[in-house]
Amino acid sequence: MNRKQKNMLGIGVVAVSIIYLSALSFSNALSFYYEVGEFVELADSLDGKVVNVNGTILKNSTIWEPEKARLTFKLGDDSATITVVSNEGMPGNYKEEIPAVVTGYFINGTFQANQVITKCPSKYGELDHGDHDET
Amino acid sequence: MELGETTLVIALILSVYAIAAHIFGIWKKKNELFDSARIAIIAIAVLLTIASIWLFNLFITRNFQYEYVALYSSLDLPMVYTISAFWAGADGSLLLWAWLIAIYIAMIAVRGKSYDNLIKHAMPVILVTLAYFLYMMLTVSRPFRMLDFIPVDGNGLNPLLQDPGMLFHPTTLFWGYAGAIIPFALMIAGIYLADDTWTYRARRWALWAWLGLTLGNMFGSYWAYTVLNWGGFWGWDPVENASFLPWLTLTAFYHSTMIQERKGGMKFWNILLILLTWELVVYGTLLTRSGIISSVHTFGESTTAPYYINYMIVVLAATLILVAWKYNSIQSKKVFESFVSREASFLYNNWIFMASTASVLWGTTYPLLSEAFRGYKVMVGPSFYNQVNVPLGIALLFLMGICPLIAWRRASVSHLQRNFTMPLATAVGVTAIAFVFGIRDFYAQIVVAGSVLVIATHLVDVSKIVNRQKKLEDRGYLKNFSKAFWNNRRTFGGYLCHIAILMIIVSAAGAVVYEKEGTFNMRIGDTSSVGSYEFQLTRVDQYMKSNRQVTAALFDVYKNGELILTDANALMYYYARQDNTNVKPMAYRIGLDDLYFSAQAITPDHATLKIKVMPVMFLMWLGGFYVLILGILICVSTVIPIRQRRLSADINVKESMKKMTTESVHDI
Repeated sequence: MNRKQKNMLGIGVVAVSIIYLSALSFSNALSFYYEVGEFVELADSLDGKVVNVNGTILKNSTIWEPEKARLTFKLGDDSATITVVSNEGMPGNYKEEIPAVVTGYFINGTFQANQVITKCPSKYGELDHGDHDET
Repeated sequence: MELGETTLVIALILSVYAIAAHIFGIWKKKNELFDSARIAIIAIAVLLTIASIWLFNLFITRNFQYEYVALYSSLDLPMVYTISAFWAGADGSLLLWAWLIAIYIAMIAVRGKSYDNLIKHAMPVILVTLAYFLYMMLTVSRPFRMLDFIPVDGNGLNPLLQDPGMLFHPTTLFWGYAGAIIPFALMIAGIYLADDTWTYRARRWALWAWLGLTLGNMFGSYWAYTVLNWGGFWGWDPVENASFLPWLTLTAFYHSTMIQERKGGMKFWNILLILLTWELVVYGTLLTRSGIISSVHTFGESTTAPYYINYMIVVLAATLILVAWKYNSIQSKKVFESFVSREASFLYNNWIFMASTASVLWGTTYPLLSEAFRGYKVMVGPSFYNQVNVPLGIALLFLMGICPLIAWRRASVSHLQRNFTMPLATAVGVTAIAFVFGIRDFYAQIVVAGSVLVIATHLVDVSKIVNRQKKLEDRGYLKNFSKAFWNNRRTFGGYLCHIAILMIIVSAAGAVVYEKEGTFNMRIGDTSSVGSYEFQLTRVDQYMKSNRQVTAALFDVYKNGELILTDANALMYYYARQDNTNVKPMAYRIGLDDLYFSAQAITPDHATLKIKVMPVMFLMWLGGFYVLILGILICVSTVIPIRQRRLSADINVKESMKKMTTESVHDI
């Protein structure tokens, strides 16, 4: 094996190691993402695993306890509803009837969220027509 | 017809005309056609300027009959954010992008002398893209779409976008996005004409685009730090990644293009990098506009995704076909004689940037692929990006330390000993001293060693450059330095950029390794401590500020029993228009540390909050904004024909050498 081949072999070994370590960290960093209905069906089998659940924050479901920085609300879709508890304070842009993704785990019948990300939907449908006639 | 759309329609017609004029001009070799096309290009820029001013006017006058204005502003929105609402949504951002492209190409068109064959072949590529954007603005992404009613009020701007950062983050990013098309178009023309000077021409625009992308990313990072309440400067958010990706490939290009300029190598690689950069710019736009990825940046569902995807496919296919057609003219010269050489260090630099690009692209795209092909959704956490990119960042750090002093072609053992003994010894010495003073974390030690190596090798190289100048003409240290600086602006500018990147790496490492934090539930009068700091909650205030109600928990901060800061704020904003509450994180710099307050809940007599002490964070903003901008501006100053200067400098060197030799002979 000449010098060039040795160098190429060395670079190859480094490259394969990097790819292997990347693949390993990638699989550890993956978390599943469910709709509320899908999650409810699988909740028992997930065994406390951290997952992401997407749904809509239901109207009149919010309990905000500022002394404990605890937020409790119901997240739902067409087929199911879960109760979400977050001790991380009030998430940015939080309000009811908007979509949100919660990240956390299911325990004792509630979803313990480490993170609540609210989405900003298009609000075109909510524009107030007021008293103006159509033009 | 409505004014905005009328200008867009005329601009579209002129774009099509300018494309046709270029094609026929090239075909029939008629210069008059190019002259008229140049006038059309200038007219397009004027028209898009009118359209943009019109949109600003619609926002300022709060004309809610325009859907875009109604969706992104409201009567109570402060004027400064009413203006920045221009680019708060997808439609206005597309107009901003098109406007900037139009201005750039008008700047080229105005300078008739530089409108050479390469530009004549590159311009249709840009014009086709511009025409496509104009078509989109008239069909699927309409900033001037009118409602059939006049709403009483608009929806208002997302509170997270009501921050001064939003004035600069999107605008600088689009400045970079718009600039990136010009290297791409020059590349296409260069391949077609088998004209290698495209890299030299593209480098200037690439640098301009790189400045915009760098600022865009830095403003984005600062916004995440001071507005988004992520408690950090980078969250590997998918759309954050989207703006980071073209920055990585463009940075790689800026290094590899030096090899093509100096040695005629890496030609195919440079083509790949510029193609990737432009594709990633469009990909970033796709992510931010289509709503296909959940992110703080995404503008909700829209119908534009297929348009961007189709464009990307066409660009990729057309470039690959062109490359296949002209493959014989893209043959690089063999430039790598050794794995230990300056050339090889550029190659390793590119590998690192490409590895980082691949990892970030994979992590960002995988959730989409998983959903499309495997039927289930996943999310990729920040740990993946950190685990891959931290080692790459460390490798880059040491490469930055080696690069300035390693020899071209082949570095011998004696050369390595001569150049690196002192810098390496200094690095080891300072690392040992740092260990004694308590910097004992593995990553912190690595960063200290790498940083000292970078500073030492850069200083050695700067002193070598100044000494060369001294040998030519000794006019005192200051004048020698300024002369050396002026004649080597590209090198000095590049080195300042390296130092800026070093500052960012050091601050990121310092903040991550030595960050201390605590979450506290405090009543008024209570004291909590983080690290060597004590925080006493003194009172809670509530007041109105502009369109929001502010709730502020105020703290006195003590260090070693001494009061060092009063009335530090932990803030929460309530926006009545949107009926939502947002946390406003606050950072205060005390010495080397940032004290970071992030409220979770505030009542009249208590506050729950997270307090962090983040060391050396200021280096990130100092390096990322001031030093980096200074470095890039110094590099940009070489836009004035650098080759001629270098040539004249070379002549000067030769003449001086001749003079010196003559003088020596004379002395003898």
